Amino acid sequence: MRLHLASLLLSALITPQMALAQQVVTSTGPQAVSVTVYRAPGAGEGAQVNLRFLQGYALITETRTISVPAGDAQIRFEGVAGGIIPVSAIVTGLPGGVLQKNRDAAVLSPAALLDGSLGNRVMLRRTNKATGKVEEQEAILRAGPDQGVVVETKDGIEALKCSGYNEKMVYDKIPNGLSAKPTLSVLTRSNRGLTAQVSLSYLSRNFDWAANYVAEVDAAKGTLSLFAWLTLANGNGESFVQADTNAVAGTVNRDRRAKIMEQAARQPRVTAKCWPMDTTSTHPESQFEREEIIVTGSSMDKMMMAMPAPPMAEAVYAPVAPTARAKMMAKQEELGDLKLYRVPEKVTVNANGQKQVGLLEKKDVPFERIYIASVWAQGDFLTPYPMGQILRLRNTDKKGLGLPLPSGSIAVFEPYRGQQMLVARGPVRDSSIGEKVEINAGVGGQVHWTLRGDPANPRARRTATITNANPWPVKVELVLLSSEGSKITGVGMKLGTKDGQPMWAVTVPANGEASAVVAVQGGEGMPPPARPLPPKKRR
Amino acid sequence: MFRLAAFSSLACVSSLALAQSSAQGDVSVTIYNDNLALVQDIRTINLPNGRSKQEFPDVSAQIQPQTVTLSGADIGIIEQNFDYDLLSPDKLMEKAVGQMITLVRTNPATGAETREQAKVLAANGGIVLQIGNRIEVLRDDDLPARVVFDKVPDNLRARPTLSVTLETGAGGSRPVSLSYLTPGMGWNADYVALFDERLGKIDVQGWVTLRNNTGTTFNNARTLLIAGQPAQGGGRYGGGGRAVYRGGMPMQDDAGSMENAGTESADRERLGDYYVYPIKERTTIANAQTKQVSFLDVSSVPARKAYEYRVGWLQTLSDPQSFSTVLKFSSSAKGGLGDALPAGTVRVYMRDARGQPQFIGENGIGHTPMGSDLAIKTGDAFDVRVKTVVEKRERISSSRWRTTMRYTLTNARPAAVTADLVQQGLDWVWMDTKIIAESEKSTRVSADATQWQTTIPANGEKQITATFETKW
Repeated sequence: MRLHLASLLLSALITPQMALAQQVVTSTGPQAVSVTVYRAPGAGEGAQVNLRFLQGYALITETRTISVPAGDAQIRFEGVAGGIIPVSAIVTGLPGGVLQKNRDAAVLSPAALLDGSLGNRVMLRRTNKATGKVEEQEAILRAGPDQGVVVETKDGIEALKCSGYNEKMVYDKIPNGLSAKPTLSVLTRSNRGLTAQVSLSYLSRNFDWAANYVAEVDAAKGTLSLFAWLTLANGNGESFVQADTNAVAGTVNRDRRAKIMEQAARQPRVTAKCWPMDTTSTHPESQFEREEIIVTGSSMDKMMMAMPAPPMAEAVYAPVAPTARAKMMAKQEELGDLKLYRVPEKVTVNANGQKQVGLLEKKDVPFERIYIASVWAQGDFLTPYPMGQILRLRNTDKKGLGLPLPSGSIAVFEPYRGQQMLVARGPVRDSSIGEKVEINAGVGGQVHWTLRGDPANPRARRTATITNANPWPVKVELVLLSSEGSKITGVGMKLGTKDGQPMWAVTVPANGEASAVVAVQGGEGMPPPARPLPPKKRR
Repeated sequence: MFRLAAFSSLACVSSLALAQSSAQGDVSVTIYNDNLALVQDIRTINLPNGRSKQEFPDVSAQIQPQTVTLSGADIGIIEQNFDYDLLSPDKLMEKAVGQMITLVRTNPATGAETREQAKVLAANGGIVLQIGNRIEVLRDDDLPARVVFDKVPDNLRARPTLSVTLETGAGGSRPVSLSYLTPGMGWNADYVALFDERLGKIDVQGWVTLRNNTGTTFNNARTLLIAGQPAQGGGRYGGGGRAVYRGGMPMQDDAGSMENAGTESADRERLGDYYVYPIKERTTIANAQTKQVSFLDVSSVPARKAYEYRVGWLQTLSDPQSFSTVLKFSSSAKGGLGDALPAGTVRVYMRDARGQPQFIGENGIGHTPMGSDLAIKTGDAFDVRVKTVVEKRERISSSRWRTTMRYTLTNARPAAVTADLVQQGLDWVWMDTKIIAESEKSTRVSADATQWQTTIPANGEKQITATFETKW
């Protein structure tokens, strides 16, 4: 016992000395900050910002002024985003460099308090519900927090929260190494004291952004004006005040394995478990057996889920008032093989907030409206099927566009009696300059197709008919699919091709119809599908 | 009275414990990649003559007790115990069956306290007590009642505890070395690569990242990191980091980051096949902590960017697909990083128009010997794309088919780029594919794949056609 005591004393002597050798400098916040938001990995075209579950991330770069003392010092960075991925942190500008970077995930919580005080003296406070009389008693924590709490008082051994009295523990200090928030700290060694401009950059979870396009169609001129919002969201509890804000478009690879490594350590939790508490008057027996005292960090995620829903991301799709336009437009830059969109002025990215600024704008872009369908040419389809509409643009300067278009979603509006009405909405995929862009413009009810075989010779003569109930002519592209090894040819006319498949392209007159006769050769043994293929979906 | 005295001695120990010191001695921790660490803890223990039971608090909460070895001068081990019967209210009551306890009640109206001795008869679903010659159920009336036990039963502990019974012929103080294996600690590397495309150079910093989730803090420990996974039984395939990570043999070539394995030896300490990365100074590895220490810092290493796309089979891709952007560099001493690279994640940054580094993608690498060629896929190129079309597919005999493919490669960048287009799926079990004609010569890299390395002009496109003859 005496020796144990002596060794304890010895270590008690050593520890503070070492603590003295290492000074602690706390930097409370940055002077300047920049936020570059990346989309959720694997978010394809049509992805929306889901405020309940932001799966993208951001690179945050901060500048801080820190007075660095001579000798060894621990520098603590406060006010970093809660979603920080600590292993991604880069600290530059410290005169002595960085010896070590530490991230302590052990945060101050009721369970950590209990855990850190195990074997120590605490005050046990009992309040008499009826009289309000408060009694305090010294106690030593003997077990907890995982399996229930046991204390030792001068009376003997007791279990906490099993007596039915109002009991709580009062601690006289916080165990070492517990801080309010997970904190990033670095160890540095400088040969003299000075004030340094330190730059800290790190990746943080819980951000996302999306491109939300609005197309306004001028049917008379055959043009549309294209506008896009850069919608970005921060789901962290920290705001980034007056930040240089950017968004990166394109696919950025993330390492799946790294994601697993980044997962935070499990936080302890307190559960008060008592002995069986069934009485002759209670039922069911499990009712009193367990009483959860405290919800700690690990349950926070669930709590967040249960919190009132933030405004639905769906709202973004809803008709954005298309007339009032963004004055501030992001500037596009090249970043390697990615596209960087820079918000030209400093803006504040709020905690748990969504922000929209103009992403791009182009007026009077000529387009072609085309009705499309893909048809199983070996089938018989007597019922008229409606055709889908697409707006086809060419993404070149000459054709009035010539902009990289990051993937996102689009809402298409057409005027009706002077008012812009929503006619279609759908996904947009990444499109580089020079590519063909096809915007899904919905399925109308005025243009239909049928396909029937000649009863005398069904293989050699199959007739496709397209009817147009519009008082104007329409352009149609009908793709003819058939089984492996078969060949489709036009009878008395030539078929085009689309993506290697035969295609009949035709302009159907106003309030009229057009027919084509095709022949199918070869390709036995493959039965046609039971239903026609739907109009080709733009993925 | 006796009880009071015992309490005060307890209080004495606990007030010392308040200083939050640890019973650990001189600690060395050797951490392997795969969630395993070897802890050596040299404690000074004063042993009495003959047999004594020694407890070892502050060992890893995840200790593998079967791996414990203890050594010291002139000691013999009688038995080693690892007690994990944990002290809890439930256990306390269970062990009190047949024993006397004290019930403390307060009259809610008057506040008067009454104490009674009771015998616990049973603790099944509820507590049945004998008080004098009455039989009662504990708190049957829902009124508060404190149950006070005399002592903590033997073998009930707050934490799992290791104890060893020792025998020595010579009592006195001596260093005793305790070593054991524990899961809950692991490490990997994190690399920061800043790529300068114009100069064709990268600056790379390497950090070892270690994590401690053992539930225990290791104070002022000498720390060694071992790059490799020692075999741990269980029939695991002991290959590189990536393969082991997936827990088995690779079923297909997933185009990992290492193109060619190097054959150079790094100037580092080794343990057999493994490289050893010692941490220079003693360090405290706190519980729930992630710690990073620098181990590599090189600048201006030649690097280049490449584009790659793999077409899975003879298929039509009507929507243009982006080529992958791949960063290529070497770990060789000549024109490379000049080090063996432990498995980890490479994060690549590039400066934007204002000179600020921006993140452009990351990827994992396995344990990489010095002299290897690395190809890190960072993401997809927005402006370099490919579209494929099956132009024609004809049957030329009952077992031979001919397929004509057209590949349209586009480049929206203001400079010409060189891209690798790989057509895969040529040898799916029995296909035996031949290339009959091609507009540009490809390299048949394997039975399954052929590769075109081609230049796509600035703001332009390139068409490649090829005819394949297959058995299916």
